[in-house]
Amino acid sequence: MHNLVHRCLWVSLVLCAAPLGLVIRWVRRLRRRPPRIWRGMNGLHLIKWPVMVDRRSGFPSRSFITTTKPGHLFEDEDFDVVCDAKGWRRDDWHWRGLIDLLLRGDIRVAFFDSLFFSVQSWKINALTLRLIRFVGIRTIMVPHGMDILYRHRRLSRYDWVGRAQQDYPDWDLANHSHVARQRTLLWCRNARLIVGANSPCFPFLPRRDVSFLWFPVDCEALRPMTQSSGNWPPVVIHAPQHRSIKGTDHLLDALERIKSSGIAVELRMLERVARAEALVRYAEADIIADQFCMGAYGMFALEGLALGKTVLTYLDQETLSDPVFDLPVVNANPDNLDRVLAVLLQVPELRSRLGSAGREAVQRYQSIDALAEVWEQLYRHVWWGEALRLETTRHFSIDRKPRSFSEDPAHSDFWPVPVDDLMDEIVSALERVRVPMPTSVATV
Amino acid sequence: MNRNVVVLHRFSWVLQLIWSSIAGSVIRLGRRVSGKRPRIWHGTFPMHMIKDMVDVDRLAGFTSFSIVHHTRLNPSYSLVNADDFDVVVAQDGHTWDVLHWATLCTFLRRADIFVMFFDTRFSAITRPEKTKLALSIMRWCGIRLIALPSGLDVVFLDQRTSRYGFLERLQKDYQQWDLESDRVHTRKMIQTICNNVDLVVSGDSVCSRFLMREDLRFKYFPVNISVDNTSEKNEQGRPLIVHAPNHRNIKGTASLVTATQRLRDAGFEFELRLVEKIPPPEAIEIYAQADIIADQFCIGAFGVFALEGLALGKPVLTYLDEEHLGDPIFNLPIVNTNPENLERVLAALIDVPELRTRLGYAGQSAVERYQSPNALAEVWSRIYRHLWWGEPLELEVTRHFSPERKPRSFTEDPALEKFWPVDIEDLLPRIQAAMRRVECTT
Repeated sequence: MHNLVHRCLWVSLVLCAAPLGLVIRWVRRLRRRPPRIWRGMNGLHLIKWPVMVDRRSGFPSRSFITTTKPGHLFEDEDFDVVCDAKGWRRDDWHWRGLIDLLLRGDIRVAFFDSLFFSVQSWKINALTLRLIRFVGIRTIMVPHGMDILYRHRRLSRYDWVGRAQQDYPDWDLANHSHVARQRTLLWCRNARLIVGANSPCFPFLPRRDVSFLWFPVDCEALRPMTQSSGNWPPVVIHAPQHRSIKGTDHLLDALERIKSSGIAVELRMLERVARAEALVRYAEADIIADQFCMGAYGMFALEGLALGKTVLTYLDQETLSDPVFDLPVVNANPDNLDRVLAVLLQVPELRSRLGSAGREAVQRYQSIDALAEVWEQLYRHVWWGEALRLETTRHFSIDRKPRSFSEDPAHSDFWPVPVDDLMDEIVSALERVRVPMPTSVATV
Repeated sequence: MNRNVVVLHRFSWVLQLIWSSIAGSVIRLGRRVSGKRPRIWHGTFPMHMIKDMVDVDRLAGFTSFSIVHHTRLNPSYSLVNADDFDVVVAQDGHTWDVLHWATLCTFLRRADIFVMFFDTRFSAITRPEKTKLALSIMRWCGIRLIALPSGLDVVFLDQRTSRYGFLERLQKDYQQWDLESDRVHTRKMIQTICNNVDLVVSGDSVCSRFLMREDLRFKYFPVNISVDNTSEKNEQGRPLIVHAPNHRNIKGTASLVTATQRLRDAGFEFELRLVEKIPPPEAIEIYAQADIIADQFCIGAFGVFALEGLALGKPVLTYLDEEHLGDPIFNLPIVNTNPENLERVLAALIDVPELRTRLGYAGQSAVERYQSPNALAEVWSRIYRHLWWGEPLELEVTRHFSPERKPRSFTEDPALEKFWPVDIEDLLPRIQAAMRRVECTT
């Protein structure tokens, strides 16, 4: 009985907030005020910087999240509202979030696991999304990856979903497919715009209006060291929160082969390390080894580039083919990893070039300022109906070109920086490992 | 023409449209209430696969029709003719400027589900809002809409590329068609259609990358070859390679010619025949004599030609991209051949007849099981029932989407056993020997 009364109270509050919010929204619209951006409610680390992007592009932006625990990725101060820190009853968080959105949001940017009610309550969730639409709030969906993931019949080249399943043995990704697909479809029906993020997300999204890596890297906070690291032997840093999905096994095998060829290298694994400390450690690296099975880069790789480091990541054909993902990341996969490492460890000038190019590229294309140009257009498009002209932004600039599909480090076009003058060194570095290039690897 | 006449003419069509909407909606409601099966219509661009798709519907027990505006698919030879379609609007005495009105009225009166290609337009490509209105009227009147790409109806040139530059090659083959300047309009039209239909079937990864929406991905058309053709044999002794490039750049014909030249230099004996601008019945006769069907080496997907080759019991060479290899529903025993491994693949197939026999047998059996009209009828029946009656899709119970189908290996090295889509453990030494012959020469 108490529960019923409690729920009725919240429903009444929602029904009051909805028309009040609608009036506020219309008045703001008539006065040509910029739309207020509302991000939440999952406390993911990918909220803090997008809020900075919104504000940089001149929009009021609010982050409303449930909790920053567990995990030590962020502090409460990184967000505007943290339900946990307010001491509110846990059962009320979603109600408070919904009311906050109805009153203070004009455009909601959400992840696919950001429904207000439990996933079993399909009708209530659908009704809520319809109410949000009805009161004039526009929704833009962005995936963070795990929110849309399920075990698909389709496999990728290194079966990264199968690897994710190994990392999360208690989460049955095959059984989860019904929930994930239904939830994603529900959002796709109710959202004004779906952002596709990157290629690993594509198979799980039945709708994609625009595809780009939607979050920035904070190039002002992350800066390269003014002096060379001076490490000997060169330090490779790998930070696998989950080893299988990152392909840590392939990295360990490759480094074993490298060492047995007499090439000096030091591997530093960072696991379960607080973010602030991890950033300090990244700065000590010569090479950042991101992942070798998924097919696209994420925040770790971007941070490595912003720090002026050489970054290794497996890039799939979809990523290589699209200029919007063209950053000077070295395309390393289980088939060529030892050869790529052999070259990078023995040719310091190549690392130096990659580091400079990486820093320059993320500043130009993936910084807060660069992403602000993109998000400003998206907001204007969904709020005022203005035409999208993304090619006028730096991120979508026509200056960016697709990458070579080559996976052979012996080819100069494999490397995302000019290496013609280094080819002799590269070839002799490759001779030291004497690992035959698999003929299955593309050499276009 | 006098402006008043134009207005009057248009007004008469508006009246017909209103009448068709009302009459059609009443009929549709009546049929629905009496539990009758939906009437399917396909069109309106005269693609050669429409006839087979109508046959699939009829096999599944649905009333199905095809409607096209004209049959001028190809100026140089006859790929389709009027007999292939139920309604050719231009032949009904309508002038070109009213074909869309006549088509729309036909749908409103007689269709329950319309399966359309992306180039089915009810307006000029520069006026997507008119197409949107037509699609909306159909949906308001209870017609369910399914959009699928025929291939070239969705492509546009943007900043992206593919491994072998399929779009750049296409542009070379179609020099009068500016793929880049059409981008804005094509994209807008695709978006309009995606936003205003009930279901989007993408076909495959090559088309999917141009679509903003994809509800289902599968090769939606069947292959239907008479069994008599499969009995034909090449009597010349030397293996016959048949390649049918209507457009040479996009098919990668140059790579094939270069590879075959090198093989000849290495002492391999075979014949290469290029089939160009020949109507389908004659072309099929030539395919039936082939020992190897060389489809394409740059696009990344298989199409009608490859399926016909498989149905004829021939080994088929096609470049398959990673998304084809990783998806079980595209798993047919096609040999994954690209410009880099083409020479070695051909060497193995020429030198090892038993390998060709195994591939041919496996291909024929696989298309019969997964891509025949009967197999596709199971799929389309479920799609129509889902759209019309709201029944669950559950496509995994069909043969085409069967869980027994598994993804392919991603390897592109013909020296490895897992490269081949049939069991070749006992043939591997001969295959590797054939490849060594090439490698020694080159």
